[in-house]
Amino acid sequence: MTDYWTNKLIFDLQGPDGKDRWTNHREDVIAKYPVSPEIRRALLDDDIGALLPLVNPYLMRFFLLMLGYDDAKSIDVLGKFQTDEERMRVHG
Amino acid sequence: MAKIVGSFAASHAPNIARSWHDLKDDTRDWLTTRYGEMGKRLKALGPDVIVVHSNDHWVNFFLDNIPAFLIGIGDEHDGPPEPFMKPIFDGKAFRGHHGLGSHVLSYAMGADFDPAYSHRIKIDHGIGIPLWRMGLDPLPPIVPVFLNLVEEPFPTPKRCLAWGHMIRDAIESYPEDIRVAVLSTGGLSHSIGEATMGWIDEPFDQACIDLFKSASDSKLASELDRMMAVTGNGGAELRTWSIAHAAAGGQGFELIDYTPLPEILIGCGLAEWKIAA
Repeated sequence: MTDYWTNKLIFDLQGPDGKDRWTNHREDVIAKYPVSPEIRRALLDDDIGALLPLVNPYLMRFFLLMLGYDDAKSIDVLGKFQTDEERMRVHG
Repeated sequence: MAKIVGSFAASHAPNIARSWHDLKDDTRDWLTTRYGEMGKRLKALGPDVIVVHSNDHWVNFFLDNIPAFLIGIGDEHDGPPEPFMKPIFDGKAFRGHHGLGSHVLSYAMGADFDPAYSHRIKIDHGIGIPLWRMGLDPLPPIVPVFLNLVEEPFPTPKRCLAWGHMIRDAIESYPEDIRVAVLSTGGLSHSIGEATMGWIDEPFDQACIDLFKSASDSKLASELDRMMAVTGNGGAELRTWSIAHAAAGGQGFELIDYTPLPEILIGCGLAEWKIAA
């Protein structure tokens, strides 16, 4: 389910200083948003699997780019969370 | 009265801009020739205004306010703010067309659509990339129309087809003698920021192309509904193609070209609908 504040945090990082704020002041950034302790932990740990169901995919794409993941790495990281049904669709 | 002179659709993958100089030569050549061909066709029609349908990518809207449809009615709109678009447009504003935009808005309201509207909207890569690659210079004024295709629920394909027919009627009831082209951007299949990211669903793309060639509105709507539910999330953007299709009267589809391009993560397609005289 979409989590408003997690998405809001990522949405707000789209500004020009977003990457710097996230890289160098991550805890301060997170503290500005009323996210649950579990989400806070996931954000601190780059726990993409925990964030995936909560974050809009297009914002997730931006988030991974901001973390420095190129396309291949993003595909690899996200692919680990494919369901069997999704695996069937993609690979037949 | 205004006249609709052409209807087009094209993909808008951000990697076209983000990675342009790093793309393989074959990919860049394919994109250059196909978008160039579409630009040539569009220019030949001499449009005074282009009505462009695309989706916003978290540039104008957020979860606190997401319009299903929004019409840009101003005489000017802001250029794309995304960092990878900055070198292309350098923050330059786009000319809008208040007369036609306002007319389409009023017409839509009168036809029982209830779009949001904006006097000044930010154009993002969805509109910027096809216009850039088509090389339209000078670029005619645009009436941007945004659909929500990033956070569900989305407008149904049936509604998008009805919207496309309404757009045609709205254009043709505008009292000035201007030539208007319709351009839709997005698709074909892609999967972004989800577990299937990178998936290009070629059978989906080919099925959509076949539908645009000959399907009735009801068949197109039901098949798109069914197929979009089981492809990557970017397939939702085929809704904009259905708008171009309906604006052309549901006929005259001609594929300019299609190929899967894993480098830019999409099934890349471009099409023109010939407008019957």
